[in-house]
Amino acid sequence: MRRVMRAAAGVMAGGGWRWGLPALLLLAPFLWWPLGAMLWRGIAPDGAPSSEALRAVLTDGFYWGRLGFTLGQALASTALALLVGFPAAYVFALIRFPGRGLLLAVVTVPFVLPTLVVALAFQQLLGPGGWFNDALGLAGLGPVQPVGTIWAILAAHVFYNVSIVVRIVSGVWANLDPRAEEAARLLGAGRWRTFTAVVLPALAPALLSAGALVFTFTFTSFGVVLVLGGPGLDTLEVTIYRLATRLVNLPEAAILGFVQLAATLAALVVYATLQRRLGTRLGLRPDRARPLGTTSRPERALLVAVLLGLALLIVAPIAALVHGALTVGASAAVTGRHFTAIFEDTGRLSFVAPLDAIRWSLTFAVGAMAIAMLVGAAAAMAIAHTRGGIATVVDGLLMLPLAVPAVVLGFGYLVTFNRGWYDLRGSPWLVLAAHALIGYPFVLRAVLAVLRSLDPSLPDAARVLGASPWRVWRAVELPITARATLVGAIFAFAVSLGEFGATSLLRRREFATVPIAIFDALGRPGPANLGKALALSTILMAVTALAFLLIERVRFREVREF
Amino acid sequence: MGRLEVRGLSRSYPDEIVALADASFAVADGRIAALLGPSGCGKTTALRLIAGLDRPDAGDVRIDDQSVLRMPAHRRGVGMMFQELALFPHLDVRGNVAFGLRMKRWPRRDRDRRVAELLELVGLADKVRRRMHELSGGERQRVALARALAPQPAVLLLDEPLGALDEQRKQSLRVELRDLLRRLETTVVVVSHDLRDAIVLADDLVVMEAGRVLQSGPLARVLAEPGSPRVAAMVGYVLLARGPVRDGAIVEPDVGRVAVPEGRAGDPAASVFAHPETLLGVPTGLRLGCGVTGVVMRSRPSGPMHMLDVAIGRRPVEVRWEWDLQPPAPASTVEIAARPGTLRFFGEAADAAEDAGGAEALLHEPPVAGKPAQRRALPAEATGRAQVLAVRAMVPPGTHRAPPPAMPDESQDPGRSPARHGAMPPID
Repeated sequence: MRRVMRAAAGVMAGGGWRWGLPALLLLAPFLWWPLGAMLWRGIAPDGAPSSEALRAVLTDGFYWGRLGFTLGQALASTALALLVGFPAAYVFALIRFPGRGLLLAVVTVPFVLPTLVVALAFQQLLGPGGWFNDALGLAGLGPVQPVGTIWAILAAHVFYNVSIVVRIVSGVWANLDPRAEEAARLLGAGRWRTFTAVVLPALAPALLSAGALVFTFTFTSFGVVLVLGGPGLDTLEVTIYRLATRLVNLPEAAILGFVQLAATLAALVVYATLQRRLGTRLGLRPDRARPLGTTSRPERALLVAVLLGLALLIVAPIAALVHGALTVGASAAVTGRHFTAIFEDTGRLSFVAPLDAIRWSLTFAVGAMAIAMLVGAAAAMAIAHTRGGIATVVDGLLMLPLAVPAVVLGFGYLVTFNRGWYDLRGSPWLVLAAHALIGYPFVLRAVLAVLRSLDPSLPDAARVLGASPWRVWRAVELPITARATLVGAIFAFAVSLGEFGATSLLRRREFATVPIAIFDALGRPGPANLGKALALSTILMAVTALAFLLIERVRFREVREF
Repeated sequence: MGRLEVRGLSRSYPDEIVALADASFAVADGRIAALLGPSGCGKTTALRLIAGLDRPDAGDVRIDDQSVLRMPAHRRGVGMMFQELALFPHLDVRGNVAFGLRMKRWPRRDRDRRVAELLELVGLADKVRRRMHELSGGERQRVALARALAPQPAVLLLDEPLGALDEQRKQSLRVELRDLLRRLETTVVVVSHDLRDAIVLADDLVVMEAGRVLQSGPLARVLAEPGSPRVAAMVGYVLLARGPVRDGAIVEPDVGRVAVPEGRAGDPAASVFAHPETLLGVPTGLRLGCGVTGVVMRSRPSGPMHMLDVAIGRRPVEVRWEWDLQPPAPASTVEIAARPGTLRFFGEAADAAEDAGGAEALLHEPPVAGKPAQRRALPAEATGRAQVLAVRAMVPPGTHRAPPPAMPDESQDPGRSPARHGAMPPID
């Protein structure tokens, strides 16, 4: 009891609780309640607690298979991303070559691309008549059909996540003290021994941290698997989606949702713990990259190989998407008619008119960005100003949205806001709330990173100089975190534009977004529909990539965290 | 302008750490007080309580005889320079210095004038537009000082103002800071763990340990007359001898015997301290020493003279050797003489001499609450206001007194002279 009192006193004394209010207003109705309702649906399918659904899930080989596939593809994707990303991290960390900064930005672009766009790009690249098969044909190898198999999924996941590995690992590697390696060499360790005994252990936290993040993203992969997967290749996320859209077995879907949540929470705890440990090391040493001229021949060979590999991995799918948008069903070499069709389509023959979708996407993105910005910045203040043991609890509760997969969130809304005065089915507000919640952790994390790196006596200094608590924030904390807030807000904007998982469960033709329009067009026959999907994807990609380049301009150079 | 008074201030933290226990001291208007003590003794806590950044469990903070305890930090009118400076990274030099004036809503014209005036004062007039990361350590420190001074605080608090600097930089900036503070005529409290800072900067000295004020008073008085063995040790004195008082003299085996002043003759035990600057090594047999002998560990030239590193008992002490003789060889014995009137005697409990390591514990061990050695060192009065307990050696300078009664214990080194304090040959 005393502990509780003291913890409560800690919260009040820090004044942090006031900053938590906006987050409370967003999270309580739109996260904690739906998650609670979902859990209740799982453990009390008919209103009274029963283990029926749990038993059904546990005894059904179907679910075990889905879980096995989800886990297997996530682990394989993580391993592949690490394998591909590691040499690239070496090159970016240790060799100073022309265009290094720009290339690092380009490598990161896939990270912000909407899942549906990426899935579509790989469908174009790897599908029948795609460039991949053309290349195989040139080499005299028969055509293959990776779309609908695990290979297409893995390729897309590597494309997506290699940037995480490159950025996190190269960020740490560039700051490793080279004197440790020099000391090892002087003590008699050869090149390889130095690498395995000194460098690798020092990089291990970064590798694990990147791995945990990649695992989180691939474990909850939805859009990529939905489009590129085939029969039997459903992740848990896709399974929940299928159960929910057919409105069957909702209690079992709820149980699956919690399995998902537990897995992502565990992976994120690993990530956060490791990041905290790494955070103390970042920026300690200056960039140790050596100029190109001083590198050895094998290193230069590696550089060329990495650059070529990345070019193929990143540029090929993007180019295939754009190429598809310009050529599908074209009589001439190139056609712009899929783009012009966007402006002519009234939606009479489809789910939604593309222009309406664009309008709704922008509306949701701007609204979600605004909410995420306000709530995220305030929540960061709440966490930063809470002291004592309660800080961990506050931290965990406010960070929770980061761990909630989008489909689970959408599903939670479906089973919660469905009756009485809070029947919000068919309301665009739910979509806005979901987008805001998904975007909010980006602001929170960006701002919190800056707040935590601040000298804790800065607010004290401002107070002694006559600033009231409110003015301390206005005159010190707000201007210092403004850039981080902006970075997080642009992220939230881009993520909302591409959001598919939650929106797919809440969609209505009255407020369908661009990803919904793309997915709908994909499900319809004919080159006109495919062309529409490709053209919309190209536009979406261009806008998110643009947003990302904006982030890169605004972002503090030393912040190398996701 | 303001008279600062701290009354019975106490503050403890959740982990049962007592940061400050019943601390009291006062700083008169326009004076500079130094809080001196080892790190963790509660100095910074005291500053935070004075500034209003933390609340005391008990006690009062008064400025110009008004309690300011109910005033929040931003209305208290106290300026503070933080140990890590806490400069605002998003503002330039001008923005940092003007911050407090902006908070007080000074009109722009006055603000600009005041900022220019202060930057002139600290010599940064040509770096107005610089960002914090473009400044050197010394420049940053001056920005922090100018920022704290700008709103004309009634009391200025400086937390280890020279702490972050290297030794060489420290020396010049210490003098610079002193000149600046002297010109200001503001009431200042400086916190430092370095006696040299206090000596250069302060008018008054407040000696703290383990959350308590051991002694406070004008700098010269505290330095000349430390009130307890702990304070003596903290302001640079060394222990010459400690033990039971027999026949009017402190007796410590292997060290010697030092006659105590008449007022102390009745104590069961006592200790005697001296400042190293007042000590000389003297050849044995001349009966010039104060009664204490030491073993030479090494001698080293110091200008035209020599310094001796001497072990008194097991305590290393540095003394001058001002004779035209070759300095004594290592392992030989010298007598120790002290400048007249500079020995400081303290009464001790009867068991003082019995524990052999007691003297070392008294000087070197970190304070632990409840430890007997410390309780002896902290008489109740010493925790309050200045208490000068030292008893001056009652010998007029330069006079030779009749030798005290011969030592009863003849087993001692026969070459040793009877104790004589204040006996020292004139120095050319």
